[in-house]
Amino acid sequence: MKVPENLLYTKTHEWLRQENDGSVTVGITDYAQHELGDVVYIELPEKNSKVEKQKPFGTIESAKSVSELIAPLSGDVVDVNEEVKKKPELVNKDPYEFWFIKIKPSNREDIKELLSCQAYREHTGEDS
Amino acid sequence: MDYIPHKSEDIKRMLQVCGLNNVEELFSSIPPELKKDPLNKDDGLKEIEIIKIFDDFMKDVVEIKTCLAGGGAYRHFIPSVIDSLVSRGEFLTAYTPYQPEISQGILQTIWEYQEIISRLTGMDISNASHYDGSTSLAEAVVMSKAITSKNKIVLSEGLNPRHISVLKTIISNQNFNMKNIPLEDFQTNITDSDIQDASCFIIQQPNYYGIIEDLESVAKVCNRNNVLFIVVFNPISAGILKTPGECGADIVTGEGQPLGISLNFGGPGLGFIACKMKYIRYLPGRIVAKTNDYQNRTAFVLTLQAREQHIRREKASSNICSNHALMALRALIYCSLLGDKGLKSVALLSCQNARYLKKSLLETGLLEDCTNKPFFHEFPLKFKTDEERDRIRKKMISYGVLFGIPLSSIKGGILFNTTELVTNEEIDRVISILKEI
Repeated sequence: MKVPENLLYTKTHEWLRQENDGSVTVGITDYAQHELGDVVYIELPEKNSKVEKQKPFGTIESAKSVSELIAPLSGDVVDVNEEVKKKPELVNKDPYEFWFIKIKPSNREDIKELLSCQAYREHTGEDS
Repeated sequence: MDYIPHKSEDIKRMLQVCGLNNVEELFSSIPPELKKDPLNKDDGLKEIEIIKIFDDFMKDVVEIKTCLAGGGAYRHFIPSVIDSLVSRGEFLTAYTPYQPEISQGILQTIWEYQEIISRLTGMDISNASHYDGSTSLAEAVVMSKAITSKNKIVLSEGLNPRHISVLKTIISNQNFNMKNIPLEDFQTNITDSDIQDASCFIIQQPNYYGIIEDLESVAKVCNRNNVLFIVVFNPISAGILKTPGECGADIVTGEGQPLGISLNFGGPGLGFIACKMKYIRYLPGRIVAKTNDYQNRTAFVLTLQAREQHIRREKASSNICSNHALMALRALIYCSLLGDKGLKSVALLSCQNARYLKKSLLETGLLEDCTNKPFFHEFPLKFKTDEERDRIRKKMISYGVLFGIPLSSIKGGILFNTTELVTNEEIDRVISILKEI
């Protein structure tokens, strides 16, 4: 299970990357895509809409289940990955390459609450 | 598959395993005062006696020879092949299968039904059916809330009052607010402000009074206000009217009873619901898809099940997971037998007969017209008073004529319908009775 060192994580299996322009890119982890199985549909918010910390911002559907995507931070959605909406199966291929949305956080303090690579490994029981 | 009940030895062995003496002990936790006495206390009746009861009952029953009442349920001709095909055990006894893909035949009929509903409504996709037109409408309304995240619904008063009443019951605890738009001369006309901030606007085509609505104009107002346009549609009218899809509908629902289903004292009916492809993930109920199996043979499967409550649980927008398979099958066979031409003939004949009936009734001078708006196979007229209307309707029953439906919204109002089954001779007979009484 891949858990890149340079990213931040949530207990609900989203990863985050801080970009130079102050935005934060969000996707789902390798662990999440593996648990879901073949992803068939991803519903994401519109660009310029708002997301709220700990609230659902979309859904991800695999052949046999559907899960909510939980926003790790509050803020404005500044970009949405249209490619992954059109070809959801890309998430299974490389969950760290195919991100979902970019958020401009309204409170940067929220970032401090996120999990490190090591903490996320412990959370998933993949600590080795 | 055979049905094998437990033999008395089986029951005895199972009781032994449980450490019980008899089956009643299984229910010992139920307080005795809640246990009812067995229901059938007497010895019942002999077959001969039962037949006599019904024969006596039938002496007071008047056979309806001429039906001029519609109001949402219509007496069309039903080809006898429908009854003989749906009576086959493979169809008649099958509940929606729990391992659906093992029943390829059932799934194929549902898929074909969906194709027919999509064509009749002009929509991209239909589900496997609902209980009746009213419950389908409620599902469409719940769907519109899930799509738009708004809870205000606006509806035309041209909707069948029975649909409105069921809709109110179903959504009563779901935090909706509902607004009615009154008709203008029996037709729906909406402005931008009427539907502001609404999730959907609902109209019926033809409306409850039989009048043909201008769907395209209403669709324009809905589209420019981002309000979903729901049309409750009589599928028979697709024989001569534009489909709601062609007129800009987003979701189409309706009662499928006119498609080969008898008027069995009010049920069972058939609810259909169809929508544009972009809303498919919000469409409730089962959906059957056609695909290929691993040997590249055609196969039918249930698809998009992640929408449904057995997977989505409390997040599902509907808890419907069953359908009216046998009634859907009737509709499928009916449409297959009639084809495009047959459906057009049924629609056209129903429509022409209604014109002959209206002209003949007005010529008696006993009734007045309510509107000159275009109508399909149903139209409103009025007597001078409610009392006169009620007296004549009652009298007509004794001649075997179901003489329209009273309209409470109009003084002396009465709603007439004809299908292809009402002949000109029957209409002439009704007119001569009317002149006598």
